[in-house]
Amino acid sequence: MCKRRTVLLAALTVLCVVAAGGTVAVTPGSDAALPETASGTFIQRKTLADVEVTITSTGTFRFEKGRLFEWRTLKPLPSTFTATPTNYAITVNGKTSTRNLKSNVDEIAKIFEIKEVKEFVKSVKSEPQVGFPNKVTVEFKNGDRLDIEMKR
Amino acid sequence: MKTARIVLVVLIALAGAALAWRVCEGLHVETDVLALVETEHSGSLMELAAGRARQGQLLLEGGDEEQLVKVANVLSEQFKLNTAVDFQKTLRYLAPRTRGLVSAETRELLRAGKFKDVANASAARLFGPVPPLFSVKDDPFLLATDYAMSMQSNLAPGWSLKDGYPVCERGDRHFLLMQCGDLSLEKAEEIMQGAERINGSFAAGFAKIWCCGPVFHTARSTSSAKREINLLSVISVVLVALLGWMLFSSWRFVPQLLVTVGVAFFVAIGALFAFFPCPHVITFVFGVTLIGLAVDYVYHSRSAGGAGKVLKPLTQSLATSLACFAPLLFADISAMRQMALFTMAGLAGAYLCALAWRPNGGDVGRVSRPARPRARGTRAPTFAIGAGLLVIAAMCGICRVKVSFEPSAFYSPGKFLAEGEKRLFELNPMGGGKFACIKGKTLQESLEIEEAAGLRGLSAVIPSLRRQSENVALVEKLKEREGNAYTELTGLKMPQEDTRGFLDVANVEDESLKKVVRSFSPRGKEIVVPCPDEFQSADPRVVVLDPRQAAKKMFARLFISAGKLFYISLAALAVLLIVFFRKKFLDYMSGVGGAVLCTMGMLGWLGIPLTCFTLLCFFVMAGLGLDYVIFHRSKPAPETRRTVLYSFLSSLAGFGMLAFTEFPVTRGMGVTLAFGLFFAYLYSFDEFFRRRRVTSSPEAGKQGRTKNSNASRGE
Repeated sequence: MCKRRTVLLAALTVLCVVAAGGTVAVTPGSDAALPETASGTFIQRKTLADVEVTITSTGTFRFEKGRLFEWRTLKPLPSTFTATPTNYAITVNGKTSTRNLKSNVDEIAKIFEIKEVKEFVKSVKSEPQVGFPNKVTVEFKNGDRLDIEMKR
Repeated sequence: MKTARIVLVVLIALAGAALAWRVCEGLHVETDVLALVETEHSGSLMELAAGRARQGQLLLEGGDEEQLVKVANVLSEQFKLNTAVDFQKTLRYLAPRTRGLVSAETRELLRAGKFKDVANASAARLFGPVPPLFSVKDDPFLLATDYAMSMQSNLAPGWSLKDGYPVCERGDRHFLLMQCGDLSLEKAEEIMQGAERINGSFAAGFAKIWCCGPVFHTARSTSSAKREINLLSVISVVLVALLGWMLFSSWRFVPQLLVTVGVAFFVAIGALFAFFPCPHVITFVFGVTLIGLAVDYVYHSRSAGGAGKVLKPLTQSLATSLACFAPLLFADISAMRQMALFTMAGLAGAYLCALAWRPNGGDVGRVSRPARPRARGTRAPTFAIGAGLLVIAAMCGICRVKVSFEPSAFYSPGKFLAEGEKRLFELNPMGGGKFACIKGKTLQESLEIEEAAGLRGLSAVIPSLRRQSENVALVEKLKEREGNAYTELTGLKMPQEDTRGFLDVANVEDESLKKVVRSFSPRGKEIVVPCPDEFQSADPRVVVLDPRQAAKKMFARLFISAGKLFYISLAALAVLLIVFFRKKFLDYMSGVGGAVLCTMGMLGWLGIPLTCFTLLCFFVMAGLGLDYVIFHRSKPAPETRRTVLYSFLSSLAGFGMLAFTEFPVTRGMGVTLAFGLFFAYLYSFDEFFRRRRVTSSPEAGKQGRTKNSNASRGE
């Protein structure tokens, strides 16, 4: 019981820090650190080790805890990646392709650790470690790497 | 009698030779119910049934998906089920074999020439947060990653994968499906018992486990049948032995009964295997009725003090029974011909054995008598009035008789299994339960046919090699058209040489993919795919099967055939009875007809539908029922009456027990035979049809049958 409470508090603190940079809705009467929604901008650098290429993209994001995570790339190619608890969709030029896939949209850092690549993930680091991550780094076993900077 | 012994020895020798011949070749018995009748697609249906025979699913239902996954993991561990898809392992296996793998959606776009759309979607994926699942060195457009993502959905259409399990939700309820292939019946029963135990221990709403699929039904039916057979057989044997003892006041009839029944079955099985290399198991089930017929011969020959003393009624009984079953020999349905041959050969064996048996033992010719002779006087009219009213009441039920070809009339699962099937059916995205059976010469060809027919079964997971080659050509075009722009946008270069191979469905080594292949193609060549109700194909290699409709057709054909043959049997009986009894034949014939109508009426009152199996019981009923009339009238004496009574009670104890079984087919047969034998016995009484006035005076008793009747009452 005590352990669960500690984990819960830690999660709440994470979301509280997230709120520091984004639009945060706080549940009245609960711990002030519990953001239900967050949104902002991002810069993403995806390094593909086997071809030694780094792909950079920028855009906006929207997070609704347990409901939705929207990753809207604006440059270089406008597109939207949307993850819900039951599926995810990619929209390009108004055309959406959807896949049934269970996603964890409870924590932002976890979203980058989606099921397909989970076993290939070497590590997921977020800064600050508690709260909304301004920086998330995902390292893959094959040498690929994902660096994301998020601003509210 | 000497001739009978010689003929019997020859028959036994022939039966033994036939059996030895078949044993050398390997004895085979057909157990598939679909093999009963050859219909248009019975071969394909049998393949479908054989492929699915050992397959089952566990459907977990609950309010929380995480909990369902935990329960699934516990079940997998406990029962060693290994049902979860290890997607990571599959991805590792796929990595060097992704050259021709393109998702169906992307393929459609490429075929439609929408190369720009595909390139944009690939770039969007690349710029998105999801990393590629395979190296971009050979696959800069991430087409293999797209294929792998779409494959997840195709592994279980309409379901999402969570921790390797297909899951879905309806309202506030979550469902998780565990596919169990190749389950043994013992394991299936063990799982069912475990599931029922777990369901009982969980709080309502936490999680429910439902067992679905053929293997669970077979396992439950088998265990239930075993339990019933053991219990009812013991009761039947005890009752038959007790009745025999009550008739003869001795156990000395037992050896003769055992030998006669044994010989009857040996000759019957020998004859069956001589003409049918792979007889149907239903023949043996139906053949159990031979016991009732053999008991008659033993009781009558023994109570008369030797078969020679009842040779005429015994022979008449055999002849009428043979005439009753003979038309079935000309049935166009093999199982019916088998039943006729089995019963006729067995009857001949029992008859010859009864003749050949040397009468001995203190009980021979000595049937125990009732302790207290009943008072006569008004008994006959009272009996006739009572019986008449009973018959009229029974016959009134005919207007309520229903004929059923519905599979549910032949099998109805218990509540637990029925609930599970109902839930799974509601969650099935395909709906109706139709299947397409694709028959290629090889699995690869079947896959190509499936793709050409536009079905999304195995080919949605593993495309054919031909399609993979086509995909390679389409991707080459994509590179030509969009390669430069894509490289400029993403920085990824187009590969000069592709080092990857193709994924061959015939040589899959990954366990999860192997399971998928086996579920679509249990026999390794044909593919069986669930298809939408409206699906049709002009290709003769694609057979659309509706198992429910096919079963209905099969049972209807069996019923119609049995019905027609029963009319012929009655006609054959009528001819034979005219030959034997001339003007009195109607007394015999009306008894059979009356018993048939009363039994049908009782089925109507009880709401038991008339099916092909209950209809087959009418043949037995006619054969046994006529025996009662023949023996009653051959020598109307108290001994005969008593022997007929005990013969009837023994048959009732044997067949009537079937009425207490759970399986609707055997239950229906038991009820039909019980009422059939009862009414046939009732109609066999002289008093029932007596046209002359029944009197108790000794003078009148000297005339005709009244005399016999008096004598029969022991006066």
